[in-house]
Amino acid sequence: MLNYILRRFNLLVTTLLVLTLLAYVLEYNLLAKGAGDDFWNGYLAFMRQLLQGNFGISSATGMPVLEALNQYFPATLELCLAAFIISLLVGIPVGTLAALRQGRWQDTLILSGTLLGYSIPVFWLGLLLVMFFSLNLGWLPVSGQLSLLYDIPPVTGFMLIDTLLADRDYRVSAFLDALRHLILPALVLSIVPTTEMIRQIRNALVEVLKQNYIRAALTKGLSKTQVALRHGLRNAFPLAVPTLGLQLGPVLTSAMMTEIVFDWPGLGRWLLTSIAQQDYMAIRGGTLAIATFTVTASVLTDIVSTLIYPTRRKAFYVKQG
Amino acid sequence: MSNRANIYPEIRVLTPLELAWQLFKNNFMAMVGLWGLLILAILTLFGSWLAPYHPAEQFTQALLLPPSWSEQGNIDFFLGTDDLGRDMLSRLIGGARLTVGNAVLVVLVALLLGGTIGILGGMSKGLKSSILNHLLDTLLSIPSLLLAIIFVAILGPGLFNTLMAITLALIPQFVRATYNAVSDEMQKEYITALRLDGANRWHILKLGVLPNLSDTLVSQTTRGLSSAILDITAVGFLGLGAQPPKPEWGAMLSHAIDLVYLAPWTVTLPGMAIVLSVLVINMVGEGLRQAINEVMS
Amino acid sequence: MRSWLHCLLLTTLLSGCDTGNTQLAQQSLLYCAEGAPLTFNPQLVTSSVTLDATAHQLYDRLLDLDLDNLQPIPALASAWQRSPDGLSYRFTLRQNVAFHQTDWFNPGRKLTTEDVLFTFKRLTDPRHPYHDIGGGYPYFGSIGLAGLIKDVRALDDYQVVFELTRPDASFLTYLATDYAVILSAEYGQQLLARGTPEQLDQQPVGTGPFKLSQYRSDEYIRYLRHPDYWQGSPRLEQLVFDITPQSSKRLAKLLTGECDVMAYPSASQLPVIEEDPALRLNQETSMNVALLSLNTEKPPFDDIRVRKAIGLALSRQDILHAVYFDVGSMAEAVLPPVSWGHHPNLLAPIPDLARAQWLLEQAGLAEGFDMELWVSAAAHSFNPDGVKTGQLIQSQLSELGIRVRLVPLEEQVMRSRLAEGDQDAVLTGWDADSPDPDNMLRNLLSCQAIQAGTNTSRWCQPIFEQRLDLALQTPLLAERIAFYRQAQQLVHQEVPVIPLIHSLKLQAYRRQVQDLRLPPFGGVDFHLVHKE
Repeated sequence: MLNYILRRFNLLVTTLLVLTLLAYVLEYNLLAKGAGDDFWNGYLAFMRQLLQGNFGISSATGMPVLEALNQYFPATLELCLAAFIISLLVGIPVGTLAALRQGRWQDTLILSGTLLGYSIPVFWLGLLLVMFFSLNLGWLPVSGQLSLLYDIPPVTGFMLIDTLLADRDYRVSAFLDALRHLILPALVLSIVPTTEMIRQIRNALVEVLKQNYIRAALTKGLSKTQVALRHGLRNAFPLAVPTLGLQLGPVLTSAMMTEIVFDWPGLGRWLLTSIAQQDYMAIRGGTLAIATFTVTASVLTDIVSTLIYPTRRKAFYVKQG
Repeated sequence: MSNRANIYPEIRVLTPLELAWQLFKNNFMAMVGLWGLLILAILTLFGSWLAPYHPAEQFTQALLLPPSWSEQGNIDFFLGTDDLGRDMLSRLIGGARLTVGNAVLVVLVALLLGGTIGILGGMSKGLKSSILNHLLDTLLSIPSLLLAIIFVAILGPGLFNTLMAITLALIPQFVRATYNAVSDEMQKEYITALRLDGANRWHILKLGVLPNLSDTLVSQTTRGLSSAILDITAVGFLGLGAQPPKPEWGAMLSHAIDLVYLAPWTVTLPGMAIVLSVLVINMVGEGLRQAINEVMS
Repeated sequence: MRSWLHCLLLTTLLSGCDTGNTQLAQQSLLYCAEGAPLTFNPQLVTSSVTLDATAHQLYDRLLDLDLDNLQPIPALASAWQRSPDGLSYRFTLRQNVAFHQTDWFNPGRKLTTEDVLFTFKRLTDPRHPYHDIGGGYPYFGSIGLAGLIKDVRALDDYQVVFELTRPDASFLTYLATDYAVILSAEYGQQLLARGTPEQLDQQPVGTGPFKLSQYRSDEYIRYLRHPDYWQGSPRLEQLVFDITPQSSKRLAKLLTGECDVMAYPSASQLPVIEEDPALRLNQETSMNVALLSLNTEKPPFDDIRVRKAIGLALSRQDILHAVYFDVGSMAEAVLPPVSWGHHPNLLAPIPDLARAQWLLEQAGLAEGFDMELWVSAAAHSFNPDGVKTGQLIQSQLSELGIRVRLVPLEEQVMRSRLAEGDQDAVLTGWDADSPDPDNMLRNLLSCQAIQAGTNTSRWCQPIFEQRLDLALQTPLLAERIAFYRQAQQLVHQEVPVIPLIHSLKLQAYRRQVQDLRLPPFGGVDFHLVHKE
């Protein structure tokens, strides 16, 4: 096991090194800063700066890039977490239903639905939902993270938490307002992991339901639903963890598009603004941060899912041998 | 049945390909997708002959005409016009080449390059393979759209740069898929048997590996195609891809956003075009995958 | 069923709208602005976004303009005297004018002549410690303020004298523009002592009706009431600028009530605004012009025949129709008809492709050529959609075989690239800061404005310069008009810029908002605004 974790960490470290190297090449060629300098010396200096937490200064705002990252990252994380929670809440029951009704119209309907989910560009879906829920019905706000009436000092960066922590007499209504702002973008973003979750749960459960112990349980007189909930889900559930891990990358990029559509003050929107402003320090910092986050997260989910799902571990050893 | 003249009917064993086609044909969704794909292909290839006007032609007397079925519509402009008086239908057809056509191009290049690297890597062992493995994990962990956006940020906005970036982002996925399929295949006993028989690498590749790659390649290609379309349109939507007046669907959509109250069709139509084309590709891909899976099992 | 669901949502989620928050909403104004300010000091820019966000919220000027008769009226200066030769002006300052008290500054005294000296020395004296901070003063640079003001002297704490090198009929109007804001000398000295002088323009301190509370770049600006404002504290408790570049999104927010006032709705949205009973619209004939500026220093645009050919190929009619939805008028010359300097006999050429083609042949460019056209990615008061205008021009010029590549640029990037002077052509414009014709002509076309970056055609014509200077030195209105007409005649002949459209200034707001006026010049003003 230790061997496994070490190898994964090894992967993590080399990956991050390659990433910084890429980022440095970007700077070396673009800003022609290190042009007089020797490439590798410049790279070492660059790494030293990074390790000290010096990401440079944004040319557009004059703000240290690290500070900007601190400010924007939690908003993105909040959005992604909300989307993942929705994908669990929707994906697991719907996936289970599809598996139980395998081959029948419910299954077909759900599968067609996921096919549609794979095909819709998030930015278009976002626009449609805004047009319907915000403009036609007037139920939900158009964009932003919180109504600007409320002045909430950032503590954790998570708006839902900060509104409650804030020392203001309007904090409850601010919290509800933040929640209302979160609904549409989280829904739009969740389309990606939810469709994947439905598929994974359904396919896993279909496999599990073929097993002998399920048949045994069925012959004992338990209904199919009972069996599925009691035995099936328990065995299908661990699949959800790696699914979420694998979905991190796609979700993060979809989050960029979602942030643009909903003016969500997150990393993606900041990165795209920086691109429009040709603010290379910010672009470098932003891409490094997003990439580092996805790599770290995918390695961590890999390790976690291996820990709680031993067959994967075995598969690893088999592969190695 | 087909050979009535044959007095001695024999049971014809279907080849896997025929079997797969049988299965595919019976799948209603897949067939709908296939017809849709066919129409899409025709529009992409022959669009410039089919479109009523040139996509950039401006009719300044006919700005923002709604689609022809609405009251103020005009049959000359079947799907209406945009804010510069350009025919929506012609623009959407022109966009098919820019969006779908380019996606096909991108995927073909990625398939060729990625497939080759994957096969070579999968057939080799040891350090080379391990390095490839690590490198792939790195590249795969960066989402393709992000990679595309970074490339465009460096090289400057434009359709060509977008396409290059998306190709580069897709290659690792193809490498990984073929690599896994090839190395799985190489573990199998019949390959060992072949090797013991003294077959060289080229023979193993030709007889053992390549025929068994088809399902991987098919599913990876359809997946790549749909993600390429979504990425091209996303970059276009961000204003980093195709520049005006090119009628790339994502760019069309983003330029029409300000008109959403006045002329909703300028926003909904390009979106529909994207969804429908990705959908038919996914439907066909799904059907193919199911058919191949059943043939295999 | 639907109403039931609606109720549920209302009670659980929309409870943000009731009870204690009506008070908060009542005293706050949310303004959907079209872009982020480049700085908090209007002296450093000519961007209307920055002027809107800063000039009338944070600061005051010595003089203001009466919006009805466009004459200077007292502001921070309660009285002024002009010497008979027109070479010296004496201003008497108002007493008890308080500066903002903020997290970063605690004012120790009220406004005195020291602050006026500080402000104008910074602008004109190269040895002033703040002169080189902030990267130049485009407006005052292009009107040559440093050459105009010989000296600024304080007679006592409330008397200040400006001495000029030559008489200038527009001097008082300069002091009433959005750029002539008065900064705090005390704050400047504190920052200098702390070694962070650049903060002066980023964490502003002024005397205006609102003080800055918080700025998150590209997201929002939060202003709070300045309780000791000398004209009486504003009735709004807070004023928030919600930075929303996309005009459809601004309108969406206005419709849902997430914004109270919306900057520059595009003309395509007017039907929606007029239809909605909750919305109101302000229209103001403003002194502005959108134009296509050709870089006269760069071939092939250094050839007057090429410039004329381009002018002949453009159809203003189509641009007015497609981009402005006919809200506005076609520009015949640079100065619009509302300006007293307008030249009624100049007419833009009628589109004539054959003649344009002939001109190109004469210039040896019968085959056409490639060019770049820079357009602004954001909306402006004079042009709601640069990319769209660009596409029209692109298609119109393609008839001549001119292949136009559109380059949409973000404001800040555009500014820095224009400074390099490498453009072929730019789609730009000017929104007058004062009723004076000099303001528009000098900023767009004078030699000094090349350096300042507002003259994007880089056209420098001595006779034109001379006419502008003469117009400023004569006190007679009839003579001034004649000089401005001659100057415009020159522009008309040499075509460094092709005037396209004069647009209306638009502003949409929700019914509850009261006393909101849209000034014909310069930025918006929220001092007197309140909600019902």
